[in-house]
Amino acid sequence: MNCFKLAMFNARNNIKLFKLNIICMVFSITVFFNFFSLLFNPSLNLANSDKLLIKATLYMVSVLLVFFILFFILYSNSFFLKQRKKEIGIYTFMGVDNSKIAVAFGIEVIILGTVSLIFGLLLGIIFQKAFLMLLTKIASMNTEVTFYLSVPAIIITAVIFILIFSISALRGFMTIIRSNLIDLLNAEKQEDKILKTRYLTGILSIALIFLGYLYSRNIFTESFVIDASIVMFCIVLGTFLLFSSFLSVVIKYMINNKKILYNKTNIISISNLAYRIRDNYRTLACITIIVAVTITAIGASFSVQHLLEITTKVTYPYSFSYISIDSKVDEKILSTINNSNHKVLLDIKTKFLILNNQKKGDLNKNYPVLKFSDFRKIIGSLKVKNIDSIINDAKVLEDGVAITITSSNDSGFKDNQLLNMYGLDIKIKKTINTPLLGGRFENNTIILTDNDYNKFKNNCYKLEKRKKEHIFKGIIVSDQDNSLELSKQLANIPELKGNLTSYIEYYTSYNELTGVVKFTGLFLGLVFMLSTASIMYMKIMNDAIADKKKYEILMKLGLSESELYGAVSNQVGLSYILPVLVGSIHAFVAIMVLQNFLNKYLEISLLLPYLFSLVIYVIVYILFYILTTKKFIKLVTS
Amino acid sequence: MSIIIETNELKKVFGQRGVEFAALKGINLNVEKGEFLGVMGPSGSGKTTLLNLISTIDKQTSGKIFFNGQDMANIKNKDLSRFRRDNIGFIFQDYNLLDNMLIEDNISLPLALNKVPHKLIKEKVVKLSNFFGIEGQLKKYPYQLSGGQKQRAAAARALITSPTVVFADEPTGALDSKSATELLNCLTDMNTKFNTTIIMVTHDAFAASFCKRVLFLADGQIHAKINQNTSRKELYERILTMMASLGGGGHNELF
Repeated sequence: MNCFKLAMFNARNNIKLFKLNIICMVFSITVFFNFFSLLFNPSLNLANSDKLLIKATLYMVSVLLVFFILFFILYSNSFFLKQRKKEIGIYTFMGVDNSKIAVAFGIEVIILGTVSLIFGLLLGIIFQKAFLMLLTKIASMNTEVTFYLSVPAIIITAVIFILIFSISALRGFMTIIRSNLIDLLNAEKQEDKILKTRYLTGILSIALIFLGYLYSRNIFTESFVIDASIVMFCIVLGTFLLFSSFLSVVIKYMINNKKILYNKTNIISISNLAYRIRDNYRTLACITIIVAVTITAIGASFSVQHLLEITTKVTYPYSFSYISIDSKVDEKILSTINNSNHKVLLDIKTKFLILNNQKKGDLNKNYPVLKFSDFRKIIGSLKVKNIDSIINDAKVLEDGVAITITSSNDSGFKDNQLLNMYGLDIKIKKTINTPLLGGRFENNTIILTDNDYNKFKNNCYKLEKRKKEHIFKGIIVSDQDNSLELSKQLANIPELKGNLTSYIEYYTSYNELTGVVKFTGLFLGLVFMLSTASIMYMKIMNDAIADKKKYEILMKLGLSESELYGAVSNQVGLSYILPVLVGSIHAFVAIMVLQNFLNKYLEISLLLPYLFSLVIYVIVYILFYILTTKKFIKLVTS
Repeated sequence: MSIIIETNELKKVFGQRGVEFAALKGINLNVEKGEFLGVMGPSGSGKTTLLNLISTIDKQTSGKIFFNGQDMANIKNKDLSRFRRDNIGFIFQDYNLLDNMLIEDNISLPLALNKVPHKLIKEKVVKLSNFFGIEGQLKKYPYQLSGGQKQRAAAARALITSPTVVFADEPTGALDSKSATELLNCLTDMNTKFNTTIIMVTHDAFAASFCKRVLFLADGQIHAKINQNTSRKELYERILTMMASLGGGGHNELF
């Protein structure tokens, strides 16, 4: 029998085992192809320079996907190889040499790979339409994304996966070449797996995780990269030690505490857990980390859009704003608005001055300056939420003292900073975050007392020989979320060229990006979820094969079917619950840190996105748990 | 003495129609309380099949089994495992200890499943491990024990539920002669001290000579019964003679 025939013979005989392997690979290919095709879809207009961020996001996620899929496929193939060690051992026993079996195995991987590639691409093409619909829906894109079959996407997908399969085949080949007959035949017998309890590292693991949690509270500083690395290091190492040491201490305690152990099927599930922990802790820890990252990522990617909405409201309090040149233009604008199906809800007009505080190296240091009475009027008509506290904060204002207003996170001024305003000495007492003139000014607005303002005005007139104040106009129209059409009309008025700031323009341009971020976050999360769940499934099935004998003994001793079900579902359940439990705690801390950071600037609750992703996770894992338990029982009772 | 197990025309047929094979062809058997019964016979004579049927692991094709007067056919499948756990203790040739549990947990297993309070379980484990001489091995795992110790641990597990009857299927099959003798002495002690009913399947005449009564199976039927009258040695001689007559290969040429 030559290698090829041997490979075909194996493939036919192991069809049941291969089914799962093929499903894993087809799934990976379908997912990757669908995602990767986006980069080539012409209706997304990715060639446009303003879509650069979207393109970069998609590209980065694709690269991430490749690495993840590589890991996933290598893992699943090594799992299937392990399951067949005995079969390989028997061939070796019959005198087929290692290299021949290895070649046959390699050919087998290539055959399976080709089959999965064909099916994966076909399914990918079939599901493309649904995938695109999901994208437009979740990313709330304005552009209709049409179905497009991209030949380069197909070719690149094929090349990438052929490479991945080759790596996998090579790895299997090397494993077989290196293996000894005795190890292959005894693949299922490895006995001295006693639980070792390491109390010190157990305590250390908890300490490390708490240290990471504590340290993460003030992570958003200049030294973010270093701090984040320290936190990651603590948490990842802590999690690994948690599963390798702390868990073994807990299990040891349960084994020694006969009151817990001798309670129905506990004795079976705890003993099995203890027996497996040395083999499984790495998988458990890895999955915990992935769970934590995924939940955090989904939560964060959802908050991005939320964040955009809130920041847009603060930075763009007006539907339209501009610097008024003369009243004719003002009238023209009003009539344009009135001719549309929008109504003017608020029309604000205020005088202001500009302080040019350009020092060496500073660019664009123009600060708008407003007098307090105007400031009060504006925030009054804008109906700012926390107006009372703002007025209260503004009480520090007196002659010689100023406050500044920011609409973004960068305050620009330190408290009690001294400022020379064209000869007028002013002390900045406070910076308040509230909408005022909107994001058309990059820098903080300086609020002076009316008295100081007039002094400053005189200084300005002397310096600039320009006897006029600037006039700011801000208009809020009804139904501003649909004012894109009106915005375009206004932008066509010649006097407003480069002068109009429009809420809706800003919102739409960023909305698409945040939509894509949200979509990719959700999508990647789902891929991670499914693949970690299937890794867990494979791991548990591996255990099931090894546990078959144990359960046979137990059934001879009189373990009833319902007790068998109880023991198996405990054993399987723990493998799924532990990573989600620990991972969701990690994610909760991460999300809270993010929320606390954001709360400095806006009131935002990330609890909902967090719970949302956690619930999806739990549902996916429960489904896998039911499936695994069923299969497990079928396997041990057959 | 009361009868614990009674079988009536017990038959077992394996295979499907056309390729049938009758492993048991009508067995009528009474086992009394406190008996130490040996079942012998050449390979394929139906020893293990008989054991599996009486111990409810397998189901007969026809005939009846009465356990303490109760017809086993009347017990639902669902309750069968519970019945087995409470009434029957098993000792297997390959010990069948769970290698992921401590010896004490292995012994406690049947009671733990029955939700017996843990203090009570502990007491029983201590008592039985002293009886079997494995009190020093309780905190060890099966792979750390010798074959004889493992089998004694298995015997302790079989006895912990105070079962009505203990089934031993070739318990000495994997043991050297010293360990085998130790185990058989333990079984005899068990039988006399606790008045435990034991049914032991074996093809080893030496092991069978420890029994009070030996049953010979051949071709799915009871071929002969021998009772221990005077001494073990006398029984041993008679077993060898019987085995020779059955063609199973007597061991007496060694002496």
